[in-house]
Order: sequence, then C-alpha cells, then structure tokens
Amino acid sequence: MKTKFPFHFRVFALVAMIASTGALAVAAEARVVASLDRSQVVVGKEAFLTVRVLDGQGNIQAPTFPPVRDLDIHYAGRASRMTLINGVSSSSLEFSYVVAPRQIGVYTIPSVNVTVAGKMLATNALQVEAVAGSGYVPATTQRTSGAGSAVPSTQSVKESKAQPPAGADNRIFAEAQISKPSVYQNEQVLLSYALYTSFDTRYEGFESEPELSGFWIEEFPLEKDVPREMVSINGRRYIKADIKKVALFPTAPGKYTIQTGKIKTTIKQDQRQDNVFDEFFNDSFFNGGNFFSKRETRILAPRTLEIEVKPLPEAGKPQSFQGDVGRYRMNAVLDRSEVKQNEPVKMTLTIEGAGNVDRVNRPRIPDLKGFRIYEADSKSEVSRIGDQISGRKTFEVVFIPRDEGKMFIPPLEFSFFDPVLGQYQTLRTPNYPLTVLKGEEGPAIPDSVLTQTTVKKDIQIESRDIRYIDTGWPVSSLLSKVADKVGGVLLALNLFALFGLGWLAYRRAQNSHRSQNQGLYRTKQAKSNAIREIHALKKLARARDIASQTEFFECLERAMSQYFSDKWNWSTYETTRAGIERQLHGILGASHPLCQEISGVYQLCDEARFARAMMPDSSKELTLRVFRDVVNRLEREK
Amino acid sequence: MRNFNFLFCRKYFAVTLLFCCVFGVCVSARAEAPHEKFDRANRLYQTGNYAEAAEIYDALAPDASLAQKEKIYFNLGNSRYRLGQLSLAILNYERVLDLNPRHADAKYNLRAAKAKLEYKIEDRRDFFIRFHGLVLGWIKTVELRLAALGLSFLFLLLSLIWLSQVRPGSFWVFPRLEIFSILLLVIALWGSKVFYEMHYQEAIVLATEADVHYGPSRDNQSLMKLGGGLKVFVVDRREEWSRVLTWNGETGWMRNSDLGQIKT
Repeated sequence: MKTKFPFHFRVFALVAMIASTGALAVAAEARVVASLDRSQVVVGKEAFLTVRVLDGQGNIQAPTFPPVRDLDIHYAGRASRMTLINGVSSSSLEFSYVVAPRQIGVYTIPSVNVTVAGKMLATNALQVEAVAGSGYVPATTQRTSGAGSAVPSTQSVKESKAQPPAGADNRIFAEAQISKPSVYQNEQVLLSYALYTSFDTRYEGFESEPELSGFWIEEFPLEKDVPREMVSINGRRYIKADIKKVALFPTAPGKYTIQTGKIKTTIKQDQRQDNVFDEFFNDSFFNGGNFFSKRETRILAPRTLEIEVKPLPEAGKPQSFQGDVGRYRMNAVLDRSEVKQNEPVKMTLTIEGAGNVDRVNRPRIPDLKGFRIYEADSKSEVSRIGDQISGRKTFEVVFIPRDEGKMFIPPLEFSFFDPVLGQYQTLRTPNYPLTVLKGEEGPAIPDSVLTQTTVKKDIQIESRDIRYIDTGWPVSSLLSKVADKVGGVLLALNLFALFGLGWLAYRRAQNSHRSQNQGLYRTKQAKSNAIREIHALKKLARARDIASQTEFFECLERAMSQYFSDKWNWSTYETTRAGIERQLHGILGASHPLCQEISGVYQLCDEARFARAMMPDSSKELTLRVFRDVVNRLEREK
Repeated sequence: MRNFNFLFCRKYFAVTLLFCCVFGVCVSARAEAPHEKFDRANRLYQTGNYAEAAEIYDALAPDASLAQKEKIYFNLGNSRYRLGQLSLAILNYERVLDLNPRHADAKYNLRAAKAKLEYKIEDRRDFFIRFHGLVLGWIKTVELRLAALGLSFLFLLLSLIWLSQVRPGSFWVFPRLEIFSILLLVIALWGSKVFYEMHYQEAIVLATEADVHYGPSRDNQSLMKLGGGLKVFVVDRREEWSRVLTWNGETGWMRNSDLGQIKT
C-alpha cells in the first residue's frame, strides 16, 4: 500500500533537504594552508610556494609576504576551484608565489595573514634550504606543509624538453612543433603551438599568422578551457598552454621551411597588486585576468620549422590512384536493383577514415555502355579526433539505363596510399546487378534528374589565350552611310530649330510690344496705310462714270480722315474736320498752303458726294497729289 | 614558200608572245583589292605566318576606313602578340579601343598582353586622367557629340512648341528642365573629352627599355627607364622628343622613335 504524503509535507521536506545541504556547505570552516613544492632549492633556481584558502567565502585578496633577506618572493597568480561531492560543495583558492634564494642557507618564510569573510587567518611558517650547485634539484614528494597535507596537489610538474629561444626572455616563450619531420605528400602532419610562462599571462592571438604556402590546412578549434599544465625546464617552472593546433597536408614533395608567425601575449606588470576585481575576472590564463591591471605586451616568435615532404612511390601505384593519402574504407549502396528504362538509379559511395577527407577524389566511373551517367552531389563531414583529421565523404552517382534487360554496374575502384603501411591500397565496390524493365520510350532525361542542380557540372577553364582574329571585312552599308551623316543632319536640324525659335521669339516680342504701344504702332503704320489707300484711289480715279467718281471722293475723304486719326492716334469720334484743320495749323502754320489745300479737298469731296456733279479728271489727280503731299510733309515732321 | 611559212610562223609566234606578255603584265599589274589583302593576311595568320600577316595588315591600315581600321588593328595586334612583340601588340589593341572603347575582344587581349609585361608602374594619376579612364574612356567623342546635338535639337523643338502656344506656362518644368540638365552634363563631358584628347595624347613605349631624360636631349640627366608596352601621356612634342607623363606622376622627355602614338 502506498503512503501518500500531503503536499505541504512534501514542500517542507524539500526545503529541509536544501537547508541541510546549504548548512553542510556553510558549516565547512575556512582554512589557510601554505606549502612549498620542495624543501631544498639550488641558489639561483626557483621553488613554488602556494597559499591555499579552503572553503573561503567572498573576496579574498592575495597575501603579501614580508621581505626576507636574500630570498625573493614573487607573486605568480591565482586559481580558484569548486567541487561538489555527494551534495557537499567545497571551494579552494590558490595563490602562487615563486621563491628564489640568492645565498646558501636555510630561510624561514614567515606566516602571513589572509582576510577571509572578515576573519584574519594566518598561514603556517615554512622553511626552505638553499644549496649550492648548478644542476636541477628534483621536486620532493614530501611537502613541507602543515594542515595543507590533507589537500591533494592539483599541479603535477613534468619535465619538458622545450627550450627557450637563445637571447630571449626565458621566463616566457612559445614553441612550435611538428609531429613528424618527414612525411609523404598529402599525409597529415600536426603543427602545434605551446606557450611557456612564469607570469600571469593572457594569450592575445597571433600577431602575424604562420606562412603555410604549399600546405592544405585544417585547423583545430581552440578549446574553451585551454589545456595547461605545470612543467619544468632546466629547473625553472612554467605553465605550459597549448594554444594552437593545425593539421597540414603538403601538396607537393620538397623541403619546406615553415615561418611559424608571431604570438601576442600580455603579462601582468605588477604581480602583487590585487584588488576586488580579481575575484570577478579571475587571473586565469586565457579568461582575461584582471581587466583593470596594467599589462605589458610580449611578442613571442617560435623557431622556424623544417619539414621534408617525400614524393609518393611510383612502385605499385594503381591505375585508379588519384593522389589520396590516408587510411580509408569504402561503402557503396544502390537505391534499387530493378528499374525502368530512362529512370535513374542512384549509387551512394561513402569513403571514410583518417586523412584529408575533404579533398578525397571521386572514384573514376568507367564509360558504361547502355547507361547515361551523372556525377551528382558530394558532401564531406570532417571531424577532429585527438590530433587526427578524419571523417567521411559521400558521393552520389546517378545511372540512367537506356536499354532493357539484365545489366551490371561494374565495381568502382578507389585507391589511396597508406602512409603507415607505406603502400598503396585499392578498394572496390561490388558488382551490382540491375534489372532494367521496359519503360517509356524517349531518350529524354527524366525531369527529376535534370532539375537536380547537383547533376549539373561546373565548367572549367582549361587554358588561357588571346581571342581569335576578326576575319570579316566591313562593308559600308546604307545604314553606316546614314550613320555617318547623322551628325550633319542633326547639326542642320539644330540650326533650323534655332532659327525658328529666334523668329518665333521675335514675333512674340513684336506682338507684345504692339499690344503695349498701340498708339505708337498706329502712328508708325499711318504712312504705309495711307500710301496703300492712295494706290487704291489711283485705280478708282481711272473710272469715268458718276458712281465711281462719288466712290472715289468718299474713299478719299475716309482715307484722309483715317490717316490723320492714325497719325495723331485719335479715336474715330475725335476725328472731325475742324479738329484736323486745327491740328494742321498747329503743325504747319495757318498760312501754309497745304492747310488751305486740305480744306479745299474736303470741300471738293463734299461737293462730289452731295452735289453729284461731274468733276474733271484733273481734280482727282490734284486731290490725290494734295493728299500725298500732306502725308509726305507730315511724315517729315518730328 | 618555205621561207614564207617560216616568216609567217615567226610573226604569229611574236604576236602571241607579245599578247601573252601584255596580258601577263596586265593581270599582274591589277591591284589587289583591300579586302583581298585582308583575306590573304588572315589566311597567313591561320597558317602561322604571323610576320607576313602583320606586314599586310600594317600596309592596309593607313588607307582604311574607321570600321576597317578597327578590324585591321585588332588582327595586327594578334599577329604582334604571336610574334612576341608585346609593345606593338598593346599599341594596336589600344588603337582598336581608341576607335571602339567597348571592343570586348581587344580589351581581353590587351589584358593578356599586359599580363606578360616585365615592368609595371604604380597608378598615381591625377583625378582628371583617372576620371577619363573610368568614365570618358568608355565612350567616344563622336558619340558624345551626337548625344549633345540630339539633346539640343530635342530641347529646341520642345522650346519651339512652348513658344508657339498662345498662353505658354512656365518654361523650366518637365521635360525641358531635365533635358537641359542632361544636355549640360553631356556638353561638359564632351568638352572634358575634347580637352583630354587635346592635352593628353596617349602613347605606348615601343623600345624594350626607353630612357627618360630631364630635358629633350641626351645631354640631360636620365630620369628613369620605361619598359616596353607601358602607356604614357604625351603632353608636349618637339621635333625628335616628346615630353611624357607617366602613370606614377613623373614627367620627362623621350625620343619620339621610342613611342607609338595611339591616335592615328
């Protein structure tokens, strides 16, 4: 029978469990332990001192050791660690120091205080003996530690063969290595970079990248937590960090010199200055360190490397070999064994193994009678296992049978050179039988295949040369002749249009001026109108009948009145005989014979119109002459 | 009788011989038409006789029309290229591009020829020459002139229509404003092109290594050496010497015999 606990009881139990776990964690009391990695050290060499704070809470600043005569103590950084075992969490913070005696003797490193959560905790005092000698003093397994003996050391020290470059600062240097000094063409060789430092160091990347021309490159991604370890070189301790790994595949035989580039690092200038930010930013090797501390840039140049690339042996080279090097296996799958004519059947070839998988060549497909063959898609998946580039490459080949019946897709060969065995290997697909049923007629490739973009091949430029000569002799056609004349025609059209534009503009201006100066225009036109009228009257004067005579004198009177009205810009109603005589007297003088003659002409006109008397021809000529003289006389007047 | 036959035969023979000679001379004296020469040069090129082909193309060029020159210079450039005479090849391709700046094959072959040059020169030309190379080099002067004439005619026509209206509205509106703006731009480009052609005559260095001096004589100090095939701008010309401006902005004097003028 199941016991069912009420909800509030379950909540209480959970809270109690969390509280008890927290209590356990809080209950652990903070301790401070100082330890040396060795009790004896050669004068001029270094020992490592660690101050370890166990289960400390809050911001803990690095303790400062008081000066000791003939003994240098330098702060070298900090590291923090947290573990959770069976629900019990514990944390530790380590402050590292480098201890270097200058004289032979026994030195006492005094106790220092560490403030943990407001409490002052004192470290234990330590003793170190400085001895004479130039050799390396091996690290003692027995630690001169007090309470710290309960804490296992997390930094094991290895002996390293790396050597700092001559003439450079031997406290920090970088080394580049290749996995093999001699490889076959297209065989993988690993180029790795390691940084050795005695400082609180930050890796900033490559100042100048290595020159790797002649190699196909596959880079290993930088791990988030850069592997590092403590190593010893010539008695000096270093933190070693692997910063870069690159797989190289030489493309041609020969001797290569690899310029390894330059690495940029920054080191903390004041190793002993710590502040509250240390806790948050940590002084981890690659995680940035204290953002606000002063840092000095160091450019490190690893030694150049030499590598010999051997050509692949000619002996035993298979026909199907296309330059692939590595260790591979091949698998082939045909998507069906029965197919209709002109329908596609797809073969998927998978080549997997260790080597430059991305560059693996597609196995050659023989020219098969009765098939159309399309080399379709290919894709590769590259993986990095350990220090080895491996993966798989998949090729798809589409076969379209044209003839019905029993057919075979013969084995496809893939050859490669195995650098481990030092010989060529050849892999073959099985001989696939294929039953081709009678299908729809027509050699057309099915749309499903044609629409696959992967089926289409890329064109390739095989060589470069200049383009061929132009052999056609140009014949001057009518069009080209017209084209030659276009310029002239356009110029003529422009001139014509310009002339038209000018003429139109002039007319518009004239009209505008006339509309604004109607009186002046009338005055100017008076003479020409009068002359025109005189010419008309001359024709009329030739007639002999009485009606024509009457008409002549009517027209004469009207023409004279019109002339005077135009000349003086009078309205029709203003133009009276008295007014005309007055104006003429004003202009010519009352005694001028023309004034008398004009009056006479007017009277003659009246007689002719109203008395209907027959006038002699001479009187017509006389009146016309008087009219002309008056016009000429008045036109001369300003 | 025998004597008569002999004389008759001799006369007949002499007449025949005379006829053959005159006919032969006439046939041989008949001038080969330019297009026949061009075809012959093409056949020589096809059979690999590039030197002979180049001679014929060279002889044809001076009297040819512009359209014919374009083809002759292109083929001549190819012949020179095949003969390894890169400077002359470049000169002829440049001449083709001068006649037709958008000749794709000439551009392609010019690039191929320039790629083989031993010397290169840093391009530090001033803005005007660079602008000409980028924009004005793409279009011919005659095309700009025709464009300017066509646009001006269109503008005048539209102005005439506007002026002939009884109550014309505002003049500077669409499309007159736009056409006038384009017309001004085209005229500016045309003027710029004409100015460029008047002041910067392009030439190709023909000598393998031509000396450039500080003055128009050998007595003047040598400024530099220019490799064959490089393009320079002739800014002044004397009887035997030309003042040239190089792409890197240096200016000096070269012998006319070391230069090939692009403009023919």
